[in-house]
Amino acid sequence: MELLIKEVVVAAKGEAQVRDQALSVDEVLVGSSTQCHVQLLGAAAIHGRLSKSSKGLLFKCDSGLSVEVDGESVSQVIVEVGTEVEIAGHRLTGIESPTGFDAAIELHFNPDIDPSSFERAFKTRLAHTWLEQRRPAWIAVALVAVFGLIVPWVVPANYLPDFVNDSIWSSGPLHPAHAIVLGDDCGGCHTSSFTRVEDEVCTTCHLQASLHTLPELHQTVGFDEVRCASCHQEHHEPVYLTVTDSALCTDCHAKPDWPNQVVQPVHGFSPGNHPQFRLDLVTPTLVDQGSGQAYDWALKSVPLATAVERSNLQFSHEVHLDVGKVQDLGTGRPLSCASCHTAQADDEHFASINMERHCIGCHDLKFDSAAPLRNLPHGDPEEVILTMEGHFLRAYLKNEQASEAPRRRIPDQDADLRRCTDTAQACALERAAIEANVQFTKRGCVLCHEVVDYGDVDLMVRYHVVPIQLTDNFFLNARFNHHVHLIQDGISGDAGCVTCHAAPTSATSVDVLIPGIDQCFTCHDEQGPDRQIALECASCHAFHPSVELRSLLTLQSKTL
Amino acid sequence: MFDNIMRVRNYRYFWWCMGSIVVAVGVFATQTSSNEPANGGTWQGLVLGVWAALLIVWLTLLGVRKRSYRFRLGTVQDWTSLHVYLGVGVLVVATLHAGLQFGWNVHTLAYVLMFAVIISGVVGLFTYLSYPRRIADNQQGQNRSQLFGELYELNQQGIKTARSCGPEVQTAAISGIQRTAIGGGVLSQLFARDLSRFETLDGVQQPNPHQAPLIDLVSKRIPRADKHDEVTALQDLLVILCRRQAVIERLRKDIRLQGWLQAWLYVHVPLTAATLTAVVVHILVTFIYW
Repeated sequence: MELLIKEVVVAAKGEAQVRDQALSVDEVLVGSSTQCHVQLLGAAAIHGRLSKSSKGLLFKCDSGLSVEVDGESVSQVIVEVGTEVEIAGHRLTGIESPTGFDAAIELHFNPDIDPSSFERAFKTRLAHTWLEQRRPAWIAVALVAVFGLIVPWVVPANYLPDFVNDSIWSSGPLHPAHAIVLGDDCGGCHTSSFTRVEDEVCTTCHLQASLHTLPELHQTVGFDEVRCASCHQEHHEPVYLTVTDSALCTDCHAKPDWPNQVVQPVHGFSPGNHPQFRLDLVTPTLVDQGSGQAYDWALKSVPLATAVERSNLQFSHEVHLDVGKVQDLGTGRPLSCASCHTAQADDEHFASINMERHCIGCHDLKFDSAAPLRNLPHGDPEEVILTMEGHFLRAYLKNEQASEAPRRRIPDQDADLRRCTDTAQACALERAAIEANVQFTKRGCVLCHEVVDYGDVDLMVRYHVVPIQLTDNFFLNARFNHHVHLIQDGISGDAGCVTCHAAPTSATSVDVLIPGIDQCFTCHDEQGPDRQIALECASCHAFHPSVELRSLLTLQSKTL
Repeated sequence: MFDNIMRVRNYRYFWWCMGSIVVAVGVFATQTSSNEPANGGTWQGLVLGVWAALLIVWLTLLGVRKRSYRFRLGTVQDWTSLHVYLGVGVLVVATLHAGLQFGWNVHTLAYVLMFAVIISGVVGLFTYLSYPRRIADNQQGQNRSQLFGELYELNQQGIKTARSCGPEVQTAAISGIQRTAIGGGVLSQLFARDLSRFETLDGVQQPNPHQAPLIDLVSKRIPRADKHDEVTALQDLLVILCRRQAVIERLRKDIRLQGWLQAWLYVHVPLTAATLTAVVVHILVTFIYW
């Protein structure tokens, strides 16, 4: 395009000077930039462009800009002869184009424009660039809301990659055992929105989890608001599923103010802050059964201080630990605690004491010196009678046959057999009755058992052996590790056991050899000197009671 | 207000911030129970979380307060000072709320975004404390508009004078004036990048950093001028170009300093919006999967 520009400059004296400028370009830039063909101070850097169009000379503003034509703002205009376009007070007027030019314009500069508006010709602020604050802010808001909330909420997790599904809502990792089962399935526990995780979710797998106390007492002790997850909290680092703090117990048990309470206050493990021990003793009760009476064994919680063992066993620890009286049959050495007491895998309890395993080595049940290999059966008095009667019947019958054939007589025949001159049957029954009396009342059963002799002629009902039940677990609601407590300063073996269990001086089996709490305080007084080993409640007690303890609790609640 | 944001009212807001931190640490320290580790779910964690959320909302309101002239509670100066102190303080409160438990999740996203906002805010604080003085030193009593006005006049004089010179100088000087770049894109503004050029007689464009090559060209032409008028014109032109050079350098430095004074806000404001959203998401999500 060939364009003629007539610049009208008003000089100081008021005289107008006209300067012609001929341009031969496709597009004439108009604006305040120094690069513009037509530089207009106060306009935008590039305000618009003049170009040739089919309708004539076209002035087109750059995006978002406008010019004034006849008092109206327009973004583009065809500059015909006489058309006045006003830009920042400057006037651009279409004039007749001389020969050789496609168009011609006349420029009247605005004399009032301040040179300081020259800044508009440049991008001098960050706001002039592509940088923005609002749009990125809205984009950031949308991104966070969509990918942080809406998508994980609306779209099922299995349709989404891990970094946008609901696993990004997890505030921390699951316990590995839960993670194996649940993976990233949040809905496995969080079954409904805006609802806390319910206990049923836990008991789906944890079928055996026992309540802290009986369901009927839950409301009484304020447990109706307590959920599994109140204590067992997931999503923590480090993993923190089990509560061990003593406050878990003392929050309630320091002041147990429940009606009909059987629970004593406990503040911690130190003298005066923890109740004296109570034992869960297996205790017999005589009950009517059929025509007579029988023993019913039940666990009873009794104070240690006044506890008496009623196992019905006749036994003296003192005698058995006295090397002058009892030695190991094989080695001739004194018995040790471990000769009878074998620790179980839990390091707390010991295998049950048992006649066949622990006693019979010394206390055999021989009853006929002529038959040193015969032993009476243990455990059933009727079997004992039958065994003796059968044994002597056979012995006397053989003796009778031998008397009829003197030449076949056995040389070392027992003199007792020869002394009886009655029939073999009569002799055998008489002999069995004598031996039964000896075994039941003088040196056999009676050594360990309490035996009642009713004096009846019929042997089968004459002797009653009172049954024995030993307590295996004296503290259902407590844990104790014997193994770690055996390691004491300068002490080992039985010396370790007898620091707590006064077996060497216990002459009778009614003695309870369980030590009192004061024994524990010698090392575990949490308010004692610096070198004491403090104990949390959970060091000895479990929050969720064992099955045995639950049955005891049930029993106690019935007696309330 | 530039150099005393930090000590408004004799450090009043510093002590407010310290009080907030001390109380927060005190609340946090009561989480001694071994029932659970310190986290946002304990009552202490909830207290700290609510406090941190309220602080974030209040800190965001500075943007509203700055634009509100009717608001009477405290001056903008008070608000800005407290904004700076509590903005740093909220980092402590939020960290204690989190109990230092972090992971790849929306909760930590809120924390990281908040952290980024604080970092950008600290950068902004640094520029607010140091740049205004440097800007004033650079402007030497002339503001930017005045400098541009002076440049415009010098440009007009330069073009007029150049027309009296030989074709080589005329082309170089006029194109050099026309192609002087000031400001421009983000990088050009922030790093004062100079993309100025000038044209030689044969139409080749040469870089013209700091206008030095053009001034060099004109000054070398003076000894070779054989007419007195041309020498005078060249000397006048040289003076104009040197004055231009000084003005342009000051303008470019002004644009650079003013640019940095604003640049941090382009990070601070969008991230603030993102943080606020993430905090809302964090709170909602906590209760969706309670």
